[in-house]
Amino acid sequence: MGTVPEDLTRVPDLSSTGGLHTEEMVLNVGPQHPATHGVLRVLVSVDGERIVRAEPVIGYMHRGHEKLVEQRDFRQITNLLSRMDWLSGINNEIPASLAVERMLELEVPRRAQYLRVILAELNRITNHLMFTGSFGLELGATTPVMYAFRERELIQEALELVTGGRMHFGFIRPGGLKEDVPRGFVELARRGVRQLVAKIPDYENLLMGNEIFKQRTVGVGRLDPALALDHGVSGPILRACGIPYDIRKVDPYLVYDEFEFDTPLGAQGDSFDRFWVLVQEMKESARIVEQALDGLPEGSHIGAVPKRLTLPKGQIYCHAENPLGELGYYLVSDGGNKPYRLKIRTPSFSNISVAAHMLRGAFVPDMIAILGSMFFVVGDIDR
Amino acid sequence: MATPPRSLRSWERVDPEEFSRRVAGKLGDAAASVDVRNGTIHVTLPAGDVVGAARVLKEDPELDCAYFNFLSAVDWEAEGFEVLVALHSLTYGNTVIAHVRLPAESPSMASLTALYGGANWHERECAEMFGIDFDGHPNLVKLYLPEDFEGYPLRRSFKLASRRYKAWPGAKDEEEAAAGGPLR
Repeated sequence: MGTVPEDLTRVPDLSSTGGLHTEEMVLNVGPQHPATHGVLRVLVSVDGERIVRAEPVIGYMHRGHEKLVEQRDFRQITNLLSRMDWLSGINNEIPASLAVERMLELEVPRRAQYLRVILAELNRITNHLMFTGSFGLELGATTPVMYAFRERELIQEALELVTGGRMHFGFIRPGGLKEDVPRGFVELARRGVRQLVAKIPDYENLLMGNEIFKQRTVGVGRLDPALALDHGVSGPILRACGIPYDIRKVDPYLVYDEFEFDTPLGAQGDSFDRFWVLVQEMKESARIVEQALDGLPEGSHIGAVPKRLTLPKGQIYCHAENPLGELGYYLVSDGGNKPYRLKIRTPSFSNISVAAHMLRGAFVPDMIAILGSMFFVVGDIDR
Repeated sequence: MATPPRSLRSWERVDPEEFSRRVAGKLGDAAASVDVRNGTIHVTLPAGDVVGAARVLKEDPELDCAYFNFLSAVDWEAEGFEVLVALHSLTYGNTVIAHVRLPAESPSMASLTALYGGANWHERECAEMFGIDFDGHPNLVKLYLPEDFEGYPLRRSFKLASRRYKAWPGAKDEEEAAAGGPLR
């Protein structure tokens, strides 16, 4: 230990703040930060505790999916698309197959359509449970994530039983599914969703009934509905603003119009509402799974699909309700067996593009509550 | 900001054919063509009319395309670029995709950022990936790629780096083999 330099021991004279020098400071959050779920970087200018400007910097996980799919045929691209939003592979794969099926006018057996709905909703539940747990964790509550992962594991097991994978399923094929579901799946899936529905009140009491949680989230990070539309925000974040945009309802695909389910809507568009909508959506997904399991038709899991998949010349836009929002594929075919161009419109990209506006004027600790409730996956932003 | 406007709380899906007639009527001569394919309305716009037409689509209460969905492009090589602007009307439940043809040499069109804030990132991505200039964009710097990256990766002429140095070994089917193997 040396001696402390004299100027560091000096106590500044704060009797008059007029002479105190203040300036804006740039705070670099990420790209490695626990609250960014991957490699998102946010450049934050702060004036004291107040955020003056925030600019998300993306691209640390850009893998060029849109280029890679141009080199692969319509069956192979499924496995690439599954890796964009790694929490909901099934939901990523569905609209790609829909695009091929609609262009070829392929008939998809009803059993395959029902199973797609079941798998998509189970996947939506595992995605939402992940964010249910992680949002609490980011706000300092370590218990909810343990509960969320307990329920998640049962549903994850059901998905694993069917697809053999836990993340990158590669299970949805143009015309139907890779395989039929094995024996025991229906019971396992039913057990999973029933346990989930029984335990949801626990999450609600533990988090949304908690005074600290409320103080951290109520009124924090309000998203103006007009701003949300302007940026193409979708999914639970848009619905938390009270806008009933759910593609399963607005532009039904598969057999979603045969099931009864509601679209939970928030009112304030704040972090609390976003989380509330997320949790309510799990109940609705569970309702859909139960109905689909009850009515699961017999038959084939895949329709008659030509061995060589060659699409006619043309363009099509196919979108579906990914757990995080609208996932759209704009497919351009030049008549070959590979996409000439596939524009991938991911929910996280549009959702996080509005973050700069939401962070402006917020306090630094609220940044975590805001980013945590934007429910994004970096692979889905960067593609 | 407490409650969203009434019009956003309810929606009804207007038949796409009917909505396309409405779009054609409102855009008038600004649209070169309007047609419906697979339930989506496709509008062809001359490059000079994009902002004006988008303003009509957004602000006319009978169209109400306030939802900015995405913006991207397709490279048709010698035939130039086709920029896609996808807008959505939540009130009437229809998606309108505008197609704008730009020349292959120094493609450029007016930026939509003043009208739709969400166009900012989409135009930045489109600029770095295709080399399309968006006139009037406040900050047209690279979004995903490093600042010093050269080339436009999503152009058809841009080959994957791994394939540039080592060709893909095998043909997957007879047609590819006949054509001398694939370029993958």
